Amino acid sequence: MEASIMDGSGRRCGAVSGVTTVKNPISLARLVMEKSPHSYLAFSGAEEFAKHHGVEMVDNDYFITEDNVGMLKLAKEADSILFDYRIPTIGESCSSVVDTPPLQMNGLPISVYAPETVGCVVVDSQGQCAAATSTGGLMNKKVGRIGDSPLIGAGTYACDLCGVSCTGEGEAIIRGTLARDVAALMEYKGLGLQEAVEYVIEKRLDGGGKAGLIAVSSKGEVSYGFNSVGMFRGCATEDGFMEVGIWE
Amino acid sequence: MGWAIALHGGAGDIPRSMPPERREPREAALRHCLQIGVDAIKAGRSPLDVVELVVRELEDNPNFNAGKGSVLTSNGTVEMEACIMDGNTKNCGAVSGVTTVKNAISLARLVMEKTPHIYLGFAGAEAFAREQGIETVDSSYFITPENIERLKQAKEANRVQIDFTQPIPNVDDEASLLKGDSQIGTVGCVAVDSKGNLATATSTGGLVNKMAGRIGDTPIIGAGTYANSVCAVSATGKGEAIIRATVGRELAALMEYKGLSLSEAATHIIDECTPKRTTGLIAVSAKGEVTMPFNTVGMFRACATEDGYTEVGIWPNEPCD
Repeated sequence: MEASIMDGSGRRCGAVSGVTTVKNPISLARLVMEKSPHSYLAFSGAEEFAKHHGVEMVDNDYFITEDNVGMLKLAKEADSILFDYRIPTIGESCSSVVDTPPLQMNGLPISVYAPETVGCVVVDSQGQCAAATSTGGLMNKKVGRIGDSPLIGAGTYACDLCGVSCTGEGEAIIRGTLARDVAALMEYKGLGLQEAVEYVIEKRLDGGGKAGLIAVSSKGEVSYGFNSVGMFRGCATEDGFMEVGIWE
Repeated sequence: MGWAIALHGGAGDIPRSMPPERREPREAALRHCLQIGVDAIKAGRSPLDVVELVVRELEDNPNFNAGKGSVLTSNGTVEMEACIMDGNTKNCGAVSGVTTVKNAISLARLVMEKTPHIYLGFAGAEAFAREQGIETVDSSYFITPENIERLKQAKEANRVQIDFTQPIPNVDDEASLLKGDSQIGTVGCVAVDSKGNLATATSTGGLVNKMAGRIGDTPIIGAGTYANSVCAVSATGKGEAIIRATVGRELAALMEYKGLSLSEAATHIIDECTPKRTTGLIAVSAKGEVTMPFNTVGMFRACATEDGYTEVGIWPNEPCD
């Protein structure tokens, strides 16, 4: 598992990768930010640091669900790396004929571009932004693979202007420095939050990379964008707006 | 338009009092590595090949903190990291926590070319190295007596030694370890050919007395290393500051979104976006411009361009003879 957290004011940040027994990697990332001289700890070093700080640890089995054991088996048989599968395309359940029948797994169509990471961005009424992202990575990934979630500027970024958390094809997000670019477009090109989000989804995901992101601005705006089939999301603002959605 | 190449051997508080016997071998190494890069680019090698070649040479040189000569973690081990990126395709590869691979930069390139991933770390990176048959050596190969001594001193001072950016209590410059010339971050190379193709590579042993598992800015795309069709950047210094400021991507974003020139963007980052005494960078643009600013006391650096300009230096405005 891996995670990162960033505080917009002061741009302080912490990240962890290769965590196997820490119940909540995001809290370990925060400890790295607050209690270590470093920004990013990984693998046994991260685990040692967790023990040292008395973070809640659990047996590795705690994280493993029956679903994911089955998924790994299928992914191995197909010799492919799979993103998570839980978002069926719209209408999939009632349509048996599609142009390219999707690969089925546990009765669910696999959308290779429906990865699952979790993240949260917040701005308070003083305009202070923060962002956090946490993930189990890719199914059947190579041991040691590091994705975008722990990388500041890729999966996670926050500054005085905005907070951003990304999800999707990690390699495309890293290449596009997606989270940092939302902020850079606002800072250097004068775009609004929504424009910046649309710009990065359209222009920064070259090579057909699929991804989504959530973002808030210091003015209290909230925005999201994705070019994948869907993105599990929810948001709320002070004026009472609330939305929970999966597809467009 | 024309080719250009720049390389660095780390930025930090390099004392001007550094004795000649410590300064000269490093200057010679910078010249030697620059020549290798210039020859390769003149021979028509791709910028990606050139930056890998030059960084391999810097890794093999025990005077710099990468490959042989890497500094030690608090456990007395080496944990190296490296990153490479091709500007046109934005293909990239990175590794962290490498302990036996002779040239981490070449492993980063293999991650880029032979895996669906960008970034492998620790045991997974080592396993991948074995699988690819890349040259590995016993960890002791990387460890120099100087670095054992550096760790000992850092432990005695109970601190993580970050490029000597933090003043050391009770140790004055002259008495300080090995005249304080090393500790220094990172090696890197950026290159552009006369067609405007860009590439960057960065490699490091990290910080003296760092916690095991610590990852710095070097392997992080957009922080220590970044290239696209506009520019190529390799940064060095205090990793945590470079990560926070996303230095590599920042440079490109300032050019793309704000219309700054290469040197304006680089100066802006060094003056405005990073704290004093933390950061140095080298960068080239698609047009063949080169810049090497830093806000530390010095930066081991060298560059050359097609029109015949060459510079090798350590401190500001004082190119070596």
